[in-house]
Amino acid sequence: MKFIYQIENLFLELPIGKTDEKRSILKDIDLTIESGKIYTIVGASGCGKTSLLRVMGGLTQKTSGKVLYQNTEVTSPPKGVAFVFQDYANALLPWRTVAKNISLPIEDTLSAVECSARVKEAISQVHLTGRENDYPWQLSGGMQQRLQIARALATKPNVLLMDEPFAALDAMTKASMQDELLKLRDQTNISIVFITHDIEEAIYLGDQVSIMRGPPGVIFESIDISLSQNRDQLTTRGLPEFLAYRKLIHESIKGH
Amino acid sequence: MTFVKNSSLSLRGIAGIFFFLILWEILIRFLIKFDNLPAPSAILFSWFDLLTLKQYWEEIAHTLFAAMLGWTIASSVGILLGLSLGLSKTFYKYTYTSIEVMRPWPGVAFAPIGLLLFGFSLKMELLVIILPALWPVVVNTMGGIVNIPKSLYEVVASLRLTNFAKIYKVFIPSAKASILVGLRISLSLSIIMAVVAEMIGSPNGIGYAIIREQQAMKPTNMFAYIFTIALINVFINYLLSKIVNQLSPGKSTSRLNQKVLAQ
Repeated sequence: MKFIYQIENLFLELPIGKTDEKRSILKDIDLTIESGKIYTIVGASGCGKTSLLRVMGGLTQKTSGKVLYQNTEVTSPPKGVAFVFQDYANALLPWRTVAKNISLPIEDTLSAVECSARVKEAISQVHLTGRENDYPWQLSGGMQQRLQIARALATKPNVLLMDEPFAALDAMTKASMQDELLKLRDQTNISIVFITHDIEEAIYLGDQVSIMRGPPGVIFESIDISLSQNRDQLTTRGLPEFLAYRKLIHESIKGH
Repeated sequence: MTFVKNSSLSLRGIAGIFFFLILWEILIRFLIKFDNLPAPSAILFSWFDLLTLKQYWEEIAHTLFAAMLGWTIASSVGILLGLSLGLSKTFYKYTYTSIEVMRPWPGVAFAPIGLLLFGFSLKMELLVIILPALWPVVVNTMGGIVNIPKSLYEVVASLRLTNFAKIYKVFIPSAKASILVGLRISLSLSIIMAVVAEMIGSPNGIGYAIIREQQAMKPTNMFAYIFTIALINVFINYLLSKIVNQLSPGKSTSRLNQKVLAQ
């Protein structure tokens, strides 16, 4: 079986403030990622979810263990992996238009024609057609986050690492973004690692839900979600299986 | 009208100037007797005469040329130095103490050295302009870079931008407002230092003209030159705010003005 990501015995320690003392952030993490699947990671805030994602994205250096992306050690952001930050407002460039924000990572390497085709495709994938020449601050919060996702998609990634991307959005926007994400996975066979503290979101999106406890962060258990691939905000969330998963995961996080 | 609005002068501000001039006129005409302090009306008439002289315009051209050349050099070096200080911790550690020592040095203090090195020349004038005009650009550029949120560094890292693209496409635009503040402070300083240098050593330009008129005992002409400097300042600032508006569409320069005034 071919894994896109292989994480084994991952430990992460970070200095406390500016002292030499170290705090253990992640402890003995094992996780494997296959293509075309959505992996959600839930846990209380401060348990190390984001740190795990940052190590996978090459933004933080691990202390020990193995983090392999396509069989290569991750030491810096790997090609083919796109990171979607929680704080979309600070992740976009306010002096660039929607189209120019999306072209930022590809405009130097692709020809102008290819680049504009990619931008157009990414814009339509996140339903921002018609807003190409707007500036980010002229968009709503949900649209800004979609713009960040479009920029990530324009690089044609194999993996999307998403750090609580919908946490700041209202319930309606959040629900429609979740459905867009599922559609996107079906269309592109992309793998997604999705951090959230919302248990229902984790189940609704996930093919596998990993429960983190901490600090120091450990993956307490991983649960395969055997709901049908065709998910619907109303019917899926009302299924008895869904509710059973919710109870199971809730208890697993709390540790009862 | 746009000229008046953009250059942070208002109609009330202009009215204030007229009120002050009228007060001055009354004081000189009726209340105090000061042999060499002329009334504004007398200054105005001398000024009209100056305007017809080719020499007057050449002097303005010289001062403007020296100030602009000095400012351009100070800005280019200052931006490069500020970028290096903001982006490289090592460079910062090795050089910032020296910069803190050099920053408060008065540029005029270098005039005698400039005279010794370059004689009565434009080079000497440039030395006196560039040394003090450099620091506002250096400090504000560095400040702009240092204040870039850490999250933006992670964004550009995760987008796998090249170092050149990071600096050119993200860091500089992000620090632009701060860099422009430095450039504006430096510009006013360049004009001031050009005049000072001309008073001390460069036998050219407005500064030299003021000294010359003093020795010729023509205070009305001296004041005409002094007011000329004020008009040049207003005009240059207006031009720069126009350029700034072009560079950052939709952003008003009023915040920039406040920042400059706060310095």
